[in-house]
Parts: sequence; C-alpha cells; structure tokens
Amino acid sequence: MAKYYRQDLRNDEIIPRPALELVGLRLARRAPLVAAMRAQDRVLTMGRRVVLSQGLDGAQSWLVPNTNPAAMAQTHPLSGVPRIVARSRHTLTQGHFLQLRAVVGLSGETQRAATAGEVASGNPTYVPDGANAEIRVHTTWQNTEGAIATRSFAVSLPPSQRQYGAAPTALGGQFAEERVVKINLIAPAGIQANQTLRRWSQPTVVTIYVEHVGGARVADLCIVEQPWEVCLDADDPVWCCHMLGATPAGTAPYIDFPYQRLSETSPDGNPRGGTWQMMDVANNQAERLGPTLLNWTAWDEDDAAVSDTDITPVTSTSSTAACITNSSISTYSASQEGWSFAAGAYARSSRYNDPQGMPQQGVIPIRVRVYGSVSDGTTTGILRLQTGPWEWVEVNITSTTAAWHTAYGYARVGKGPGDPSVVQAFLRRSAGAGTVSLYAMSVHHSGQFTNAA
Amino acid sequence: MAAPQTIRDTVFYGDSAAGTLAELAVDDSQRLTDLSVGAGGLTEANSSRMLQNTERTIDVRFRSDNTNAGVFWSYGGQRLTLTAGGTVNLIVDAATALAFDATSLFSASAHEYLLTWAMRPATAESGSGATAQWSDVYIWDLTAGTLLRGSVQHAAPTATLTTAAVWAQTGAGLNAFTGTRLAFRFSLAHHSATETYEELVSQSAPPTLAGEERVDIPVPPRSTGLGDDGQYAGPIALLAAAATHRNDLRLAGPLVSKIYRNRPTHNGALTGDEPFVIEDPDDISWGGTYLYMAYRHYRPIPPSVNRVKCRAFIQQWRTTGSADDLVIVAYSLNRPSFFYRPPTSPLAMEVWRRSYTRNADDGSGATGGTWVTFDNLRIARDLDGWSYFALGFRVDDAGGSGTIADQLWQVKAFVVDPIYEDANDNGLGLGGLG
Repeated sequence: MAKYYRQDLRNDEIIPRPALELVGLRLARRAPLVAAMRAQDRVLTMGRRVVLSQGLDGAQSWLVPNTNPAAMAQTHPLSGVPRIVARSRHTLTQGHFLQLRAVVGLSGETQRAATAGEVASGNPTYVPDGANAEIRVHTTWQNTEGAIATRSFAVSLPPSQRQYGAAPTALGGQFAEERVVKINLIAPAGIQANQTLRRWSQPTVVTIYVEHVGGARVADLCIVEQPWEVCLDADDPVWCCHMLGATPAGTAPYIDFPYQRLSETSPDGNPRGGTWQMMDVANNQAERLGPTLLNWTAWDEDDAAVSDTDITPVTSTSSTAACITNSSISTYSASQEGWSFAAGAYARSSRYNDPQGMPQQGVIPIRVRVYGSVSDGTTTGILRLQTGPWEWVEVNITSTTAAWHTAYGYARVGKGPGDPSVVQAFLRRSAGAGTVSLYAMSVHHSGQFTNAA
Repeated sequence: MAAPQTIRDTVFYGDSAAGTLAELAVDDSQRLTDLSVGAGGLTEANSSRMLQNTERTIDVRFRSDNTNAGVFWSYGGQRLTLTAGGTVNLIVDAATALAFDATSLFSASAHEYLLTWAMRPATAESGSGATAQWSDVYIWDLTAGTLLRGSVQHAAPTATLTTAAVWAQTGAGLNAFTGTRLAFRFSLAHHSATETYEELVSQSAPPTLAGEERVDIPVPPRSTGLGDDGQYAGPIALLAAAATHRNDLRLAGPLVSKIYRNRPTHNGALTGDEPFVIEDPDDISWGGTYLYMAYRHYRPIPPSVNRVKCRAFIQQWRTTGSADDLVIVAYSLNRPSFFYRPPTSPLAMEVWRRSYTRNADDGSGATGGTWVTFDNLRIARDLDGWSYFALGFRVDDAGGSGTIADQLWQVKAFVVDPIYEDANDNGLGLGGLG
C-alpha cells in the first residue's frame, strides 16, 4: 500500500533558508540538526530554469505582413493552421512544472482559400479570414517507470484593429501595441491527486513543441520551470528533497534522537528524519539538480514562408564542419560568437573538478539532445557542441525521420560568470551523400544516471 | 600544472625527463608505491590498484614519430597500445574495442603527445552487457597544440587480479614502446579532457569572477556506512547543511543565451528600425539611446540572484568616413518598455542600465566583431519576480569624417548570466546587496 509524503514548494517562506554550517567540536543538538534537514528542501524552491525560448531573435519584421489578405496567392498564414516554431526536450527538476510567458504584438490577418463560388463571383484566390491567432504548447511527459502522458495547452492572442491587421510602422509603434500573455501551469492532468503527483515526481523527461497559429506575432516567448509540489512514496528511490514537513496524513514528525531513518519498516517505512535521508538527498541533489544551459531553434521569423508549417532546418551536405549559426566559422574560437555556459559553474561537483588538479577551471556533466534527421539510410551526421578548446560532445544523427538524438559528456563552464564561456555548435555529414538536417537543440546538466528516455 | 601527489584519485604517477625506466618506476602519487623495474618495462604483481574494470583513467605522455610503436599499459587481456603511424588501440579482454585513427597527428618529425584512456560505466547511455562501459580516448599533439578525441562502448573488462605492466607488455620488454617514455598516470575516476589538460599540461590562470563563486561540499554516500547506527550523526548533518548552503545557485542557468538567427544591419539614423525601437525617456543621461525589441527578453529571476552579467557580440563598420562612438546599453526593466505596463508590472517603472562605448571598424566580413562585457547590472523585477533584459544603442559623433548615419552595426549574440554579488560590509556579515 502506498505511503505518500507531499510538500508544497511554491511558498518558500515556510521552508527555512539553508542553514549556516553547524559548528564542529560541539555536541550535536536537535534544533540545528532538524533545521539542516528542513533546509534541504529549499534548494528546489530556487528553480526557474528556462527550457525553451523563441521569438524575433534579432528580426525586425514579422512573418505576418501588413498587406491586403485578399490576394491571388497565399500572402498570409492560413487561418487556424499551426506552424511549429520551437522544440525542447529535457529532464524535469523534481517538484517542478512549467509555465509559458510571451510578449506579443497584436496579431495580423489570416487567409483562407476562396471557394469556387467566391472565385466565380470575382473574388481573388485567397480571401481574409480574420486576425485570429494562438500560441499552442504540446507536451509529452515520460518517467522512469514507463508512464507517458501527453497534454496540450493554448492561449489566444489579441488581434490588431488596424486595416489588414497591420502592425504599427511609426517610430516606436510596436511598443505601443504589445501585450504579455501567460499559460500559468503546464503539467500533466490530475496532479492534485497524490498518486498522480507522485508519478510525475519520479525522474521525468519532458518533450515540448510550440506552435504559432494564424496571425501570431510573438516578440519573445519562453517556457520555464516553476517550483510546484512534490509527492513521493516511502519506497521511491530518488528523493531530491528531505520533506520533513507535514505529510498528507498529519503533522511534521518530532525528531527526538538521531536516527538512520524514522521508520525502517520495509515497505512503507518512513525514510525521513535521519542521516540516511540527509546523505541520499545531498547526493541526489549533486547528481540530478543543475541548470538548463541551452535551447536553440532553427526557426527564423524573418525568412520563414507564410506557408511553412514547421521549422526550416539548418542543413549540411559536407564532411567539413560548419558552425550552425555562422557557416563561415569552421573551427572553435572563443573570440567568435557563441552561447554562454558560465552559470553552469554553480553546479560544479568536486567529483569532476579536483580542487588541486583544476582549481581555476570547471566542468559539469551534460546531456545534449538534438532534433534532426538525415535524408536517407546511408547518410549520417554529427552535431558537435564545443564548450572549450578541449571539450566537446558529439551527437550522431541517424534517423531518416526527424527525431531526438542524445549524447552525454562534459561541458567546460569555467568558475562562474566573469570567467567567459563561449559555446559553439558545428554540423557536418559523417557518411553517405545525403543531407543532414538540424531543427532544434537542448542542453542541460545531467549526472551519470539513466534517463527515462 | 598541479603536482601529481596532490591529485586525490591518482594511484600511480611516474615521470622521467630522460625516459629512464628507473625514474619512471618511482611513484609520485600519495600511494608512494613504486613499480618494479624489468629489463624492458615496469611491472606490479597482483596489482589491485590497477584492477579497475568500471571507472578509471590512464594517461601516457611520450615523444614519438610515425615509426614508433608499442604497449603503454597491459593488464591481463586489457592493453593500451600505439601502432606505428599513429593508431591508438584500446584492447579489452584481448579484443580491440577501438582502433582510433590518430595518424594525422604523426609524422617523420618526433612530437610530444599526451594520450588518455578514460573509462566509466555507460549508465548515461543505458548501456548493459556488451555496451556496459564507455571509453573516451583523447590524444594531444602537444607540440602542435591539437587534440583528437574518440569514444566507444564495450563490455566491462574481466576483473581478474594479475600483473600490471607499464611501457611494455611484460617486464622483460615484450612489445615495449619504442619512443621516448615521459610519464604514466593511473587514476580511479573518469576524467574529462579539460581536467586531464589542466592536471598534466598547463593550468589556467585565475579568472576575475563577476560575483560569488560556488563550490560544492561533497557528502558521503550512504554506502560508506558513515550514517549508520553506531556512527556520529553530527558530522553528516554538518556536511549536509554546508552542502545545502552552497546549493542556492545550483539550478541557476543562463537567463538569456542567444546567438541571433537574424542580423539586420543597423545604422545611426535608425533607417529600417523605426517600429521596433523606442527612445529612452531619460534625456539627461540616456537621451538619444534606443531600446531594440529584437534584443529584448523576458525572464524569471531565481530568488538567490541579485545581479546579472551581460555580454554581447557586436560587429561595427562604416559605409564611409571614420568610426563614430557606438554606445551599447544593457537594460533591465520591470516592464516591456518605457511606456506599456502589463498587469504583471508594478505602477512605478524601474530601469537599470550599464553602457559600453566602442569606437572601432571590424569590417563587414562574416566573422568580424568582438565580445563586449558590461559591468554587473542590477535587476528590475516585476510583481512576479521576472525582468526584461534588452540591448539599446546610440551613436555619438566622434568628430571624424562622415555622419552618424554612416555608422553600421550588427548584433550577433547576447548573453545574460545570473550572479550573486555580496555587499562590501567589511566582514560584518550583513548579507547581500538588494
């Protein structure tokens, strides 16, 4: 029979701040020991990881034009037709779910194909179908027990009232007509119930893709993790928080003397309140908690076509590597453009960073996931993510259907912000004569354990 | 380079500038247990420290041309060898797991090399049975400054206690390495390439950090028994509390990390930018500066972060005339711009700025430009603890030929990293900055 422990991570004021170091060479007392256990839960309340971002990304024109949607060709997105603009895949932080926020311009006009009767009456081939727009988020959740859930979300976007759904063209005009929209909670259904919340408190991989629908004009969009609630069964193997607080069955336990664990009954004991849980939680946090470092999409708001329904990938037909963001760069250089992994230094572990051997450097273990494909069964490709002169991870792209490919390795992160980190990605064809296509990439901290997928 | 005796997972380290076996046999690690010197190689009978079939790293430093070959390390059916011409062989249970082609690094001219075989369980790859282990091979040509890397999955080597041999297959010198032997190290953990280079070649210079550093406190795993009945509970609690205290930024990743897909060319007259730029209303200090929507990002701020470090990769050039001053501004605002206030933003606008002025001509080539680093930036939070980060620009006439309209630039990348900056309270412990 399941025995659940559940804790709310949203109200972090009720969880004590991480305790200052207990003092050595003194008798251990109950209060600071218990405070140390309770403080272990605060780490999870600090999470605000960005797992997907997308937007103008430097563009200064919208996909959706200001022109008359009554036209002899498709000049606007079709009404209600989605276009995939970003993808992400990552391992979820325990006790977290997701939310979306976007800053958007007022939506533009859409079209539909005119009916035969409309054309016969003198209408053009395409006619206006309203300034309707949405952002849609599609999620798939999969945990280490094999449970899978899918769920989709949407938020409608306000329309432009201008002729043809036009966006402003005056100096500063875009700023006068923008809005902030949200999807407050992106999670599997039914997490109010202990059993369901427990299911998604197990190690879970989340796969996401985001669509713009209709006349959407999205300046900046991100999906982030937010601390929510965690629920675990007494016999679950992975606890990233101590959960010494109240349980669904009653109040917090009173720790009257040092324990290994409060109840050693198996199954359905009480793992909390002792040295074993302190050790397990500390080690799980070191191995399983860390930053998301990168989410990239090949979507180009400026160059995409109004008829596109998916991301136009970056491609390679050469055995010579080329930087995916600047094809004129073929080898790694910290003096060129790049992403930053400097914040990853906060998650350095002494296991991978000997304090004597590399006191002025830092590496963390990472998982690199790329969404890509090859054009035929004899072609393969390699995406190299390089984080330093000697450090890179290579992901083999082998699927003829666009899919996620994964690899594990290290990233050079330095010692923290201020110690510059420059990260670049290079794509090449490693075998065959076909085309390698890259649509999206996600990178996050990942210790040496088997992921759900 | 770190002294080998200080590296905690090193169980043998021997080196010799002249390549003599007697010197190479001396163990400079904390084990201080020398190997035996044979006629052509080094040995250790019943070598338990080299009986590692799950996680280990072997490092070999040597000088070689494209004719040298031989065995670097041998342990029963496991061997690390070099074939003449530059093929590195990882041999597991008498079968070649990987024949790594490093021939491009070798020539008739002798170079100095560092070769590493790092092995770990392939749990991250869901490996088992024939794929239970993951091996990385790194080989540096230290003379040329280049690195080749490869990897392979294979079964776990058979764990049978036997004699270890170094620099040859046997102490008598069977298949002895024919190049110059310089150093050999055996470690009990899988090392990254960065760690290997730092420890055995060259250590990086200390960086200047923008905020506080975080270094973890390792807590013993339960399998050590240190938390069992009969042990003291206090030390475990002390370590766990210290580890927790240092984990406040563990989940903090880059807030903005963008290499922009689109790179419109901007000019000082705002031509083509007009709808997507808005003027900073602070006429006194920032008049004429425009915030650009294309480089604005709305992000949540982790509770333990009180400043950010911004960098941007900028390329600037001229259509004609001499370079003007490009003033680049990094913004943090609690609303999307200076005017529109969504319900998530407070009534009072809060905006923080850091600027950087650059007068240069990078040319208009595809790889021109440089990184610009801003001083630490305060964070303006909205009601939900989010902030809007953005770049703004202004061109100031530097007095040379041409006009500010002739000043062009592109933005290629923008990164915003979270930091915690402590107050300078002269040790009073009053806590961080607001």
